[in-house]
Amino acid sequence: METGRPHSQAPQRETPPKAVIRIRDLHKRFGENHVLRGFDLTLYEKENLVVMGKSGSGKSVMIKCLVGLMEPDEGMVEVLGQDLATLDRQELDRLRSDIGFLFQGSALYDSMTVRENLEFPLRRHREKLGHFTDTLPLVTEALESVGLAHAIDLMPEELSGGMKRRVALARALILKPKLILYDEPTSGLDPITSKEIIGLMRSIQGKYGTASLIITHDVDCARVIAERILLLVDGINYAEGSYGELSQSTDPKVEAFFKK
Amino acid sequence: MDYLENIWVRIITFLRETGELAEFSGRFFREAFRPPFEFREFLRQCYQMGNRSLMLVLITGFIIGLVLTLQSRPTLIEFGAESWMPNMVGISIVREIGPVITALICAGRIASGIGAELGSMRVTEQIDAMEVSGTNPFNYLVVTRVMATTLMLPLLVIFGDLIALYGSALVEYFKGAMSFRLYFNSVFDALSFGDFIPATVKSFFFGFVIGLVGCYKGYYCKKGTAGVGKAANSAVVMASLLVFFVDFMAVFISDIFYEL
Amino acid sequence: MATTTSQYVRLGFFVIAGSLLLLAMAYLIGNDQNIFRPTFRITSVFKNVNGLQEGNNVRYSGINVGTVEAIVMENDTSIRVTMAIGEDMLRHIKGNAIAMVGSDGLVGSMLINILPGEGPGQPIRDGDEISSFSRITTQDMLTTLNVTNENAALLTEDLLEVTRALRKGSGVLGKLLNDSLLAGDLKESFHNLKISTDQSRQAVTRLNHMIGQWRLEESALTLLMDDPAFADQLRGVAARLDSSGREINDLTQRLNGLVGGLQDGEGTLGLLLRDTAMAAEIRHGLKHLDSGLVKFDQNMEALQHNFLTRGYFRKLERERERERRAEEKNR
Repeated sequence: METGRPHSQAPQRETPPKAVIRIRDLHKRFGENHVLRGFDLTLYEKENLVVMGKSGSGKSVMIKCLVGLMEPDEGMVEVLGQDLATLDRQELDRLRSDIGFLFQGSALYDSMTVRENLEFPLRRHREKLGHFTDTLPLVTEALESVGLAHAIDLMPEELSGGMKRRVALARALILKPKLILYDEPTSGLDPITSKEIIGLMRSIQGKYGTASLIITHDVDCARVIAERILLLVDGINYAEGSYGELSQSTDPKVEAFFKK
Repeated sequence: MDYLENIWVRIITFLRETGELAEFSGRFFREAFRPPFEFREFLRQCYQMGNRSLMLVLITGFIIGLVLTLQSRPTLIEFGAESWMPNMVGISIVREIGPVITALICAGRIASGIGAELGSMRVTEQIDAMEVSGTNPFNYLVVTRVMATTLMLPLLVIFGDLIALYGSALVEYFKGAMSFRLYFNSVFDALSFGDFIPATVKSFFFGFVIGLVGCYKGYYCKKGTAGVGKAANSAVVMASLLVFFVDFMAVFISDIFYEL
Repeated sequence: MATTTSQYVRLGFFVIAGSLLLLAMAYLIGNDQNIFRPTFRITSVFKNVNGLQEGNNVRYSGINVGTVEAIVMENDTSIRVTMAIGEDMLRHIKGNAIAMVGSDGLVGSMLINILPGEGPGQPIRDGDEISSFSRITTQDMLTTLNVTNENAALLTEDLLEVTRALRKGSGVLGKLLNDSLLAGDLKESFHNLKISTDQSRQAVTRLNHMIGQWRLEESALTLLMDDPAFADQLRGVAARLDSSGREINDLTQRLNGLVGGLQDGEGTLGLLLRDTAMAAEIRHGLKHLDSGLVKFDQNMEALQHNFLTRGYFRKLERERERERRAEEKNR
């Protein structure tokens, strides 16, 4: 989906990797509450980036701006080389088919079976079927990659929290996205299940070579998975670095995240 | 002072809701004519709303017919007008009681159901998930449901009308020794298209209002479990009120046409 | 919750059944209004349609054959009514048929009755006009008068019976009628009777007057009046009513006199009742009176009610008994 448009503000590196997501000066207000006040973020190909912040710090708002579920008040959001503000509905839908989104509470459709849940994104994106004429091979493949092939005909209410999260992950994967956004992937799960999910996230990244943007407030999750961590404090990208760098920081606002 | 402010807030809320509902129905008409039409989901909703409400409508209709006849018998007998029972019951059921009672039952059953369903989908981000997977949730959820209620309600009203007339005929048969044939002959003799057509047209609007209010309340549900309960509850209240309002308008308008 | 085939089948059944019922209902309602039947139109001009409305039924010799389609005021005195009649009636209705406004029962809606005319006539065609007949018809009048006459005859009979009973037990009743309430009731009945007699006599006068007028007038009504047998019949009814009315009046006056006389009569009930044999006779007399009066309509109900005073008599008797026993003890 790279348009090959010349990047005027290309990162100053020797071999500049392609940016998958570029956010510049993002602002979002809810009435009196000024949540994002000039947030910047860049995510490169095949990289995974963890954004950490307290509840209500605007992490979810930011990630929703990335897929057009919310519109920023100010600022530029560019995903896979396309500026979201310039897209019409169809172009936005086409762009979204290259993005996988794992919602906080799994967001499985209660009234559908696991199979129908996974088929749902394929309804509007038949081109992703490739040479298959049926959805079943794709559904099975996605379910196998999360280890739940046997659950294909179950209803979401028959699944445990961890299984739901895995099905949701399979649904995010089914369109073979170039980028996966995780909104609190481990929230509401016990530590063991969390580890399983994190393991899955890593194996998927290794298998498909996707870029990942992970939003979380779970330090353990960040430690295991993050190549780079970005702290969202007071509506701006307050600090950035690897887990090792940040956990040694003496800045009280940064320390607050990593203190036991 | 506090009291006045409270009233002011209520007025503002009322106006805002009216405006939002108008905007919502405008959006419904815009989206309804925009492809794709989600036919399978529409059929599923028709089944949910039509077949699943039928039993309730039949039972209530039957009892209403029975009770209406039993209650008015003594008065009619006093006037020696017992033979006018089919005419009176027939006209009142077809013109008013049948459509309104059916609509109120459906407001209770369907509007609250839709409100709760869409509300919980909103709260658990299922609606966002749909949007992200390239399916227009308004088209998929709202248009199909509103269409289904609009088309199913008149059919339910017909079933309700006939079962109510049957209940009434049963009373006349056992207590008044009036044959079924005479009863239904008198009913259809008394009825004219001027009774039947406005009532049927009215039923379509009842169905539309019920579906629309349920969807509106669910679609704009506030976060949290309490929000879902509130959406379901206020959907019933608002739908019932609007049914009466539409009824008033319908009677008013058909009266004007009758005069012409 | 996937939509299964059986759900589709059930939904299909529901929709088809509902639509069929809707159509059936529309058909049954429309059938009644001749909407799905080929029709033809005839018109008739009336002076007064007595609240007839568009959509009211049209009957031919008592069968529903169509509906009123339009009611148009033509000028200040004539109203043109257009009727849509089922085409199958085309060969039955003749050009000399007469349309009249009637009503369906006592509280029923208005309708148009088409009656076949006298003798053979031309077959009617679409758009023809047939003659009409006003609402106050001699037929109606005759029917009403006949009923009045019968009622009057019944009343006379009842009254005769009452008088007979009164005569028979006059002594007893004389005392009884000192009870002014009872007398009042009776008097009221007589008064009502008188009013009704007066009314029927007025009706007869009016009728006579009308007959006189019709004779002079060359109106559509002479059509009927030309039939001498009919006119005689009408006059016969009037004469009978007149005589029975006079009879009732006579009776009423006599009864009034009787009651007046009785009220003036002296003696008390108590005096009478000292004799138990006498009391039995009273009861016997009252029973007679009762049977005579049962048929005497509503106004007399009060009188019947007052016969409950029998209980009062019995109570009096018991008191007497107690007194007598007390006397015996004292002795």
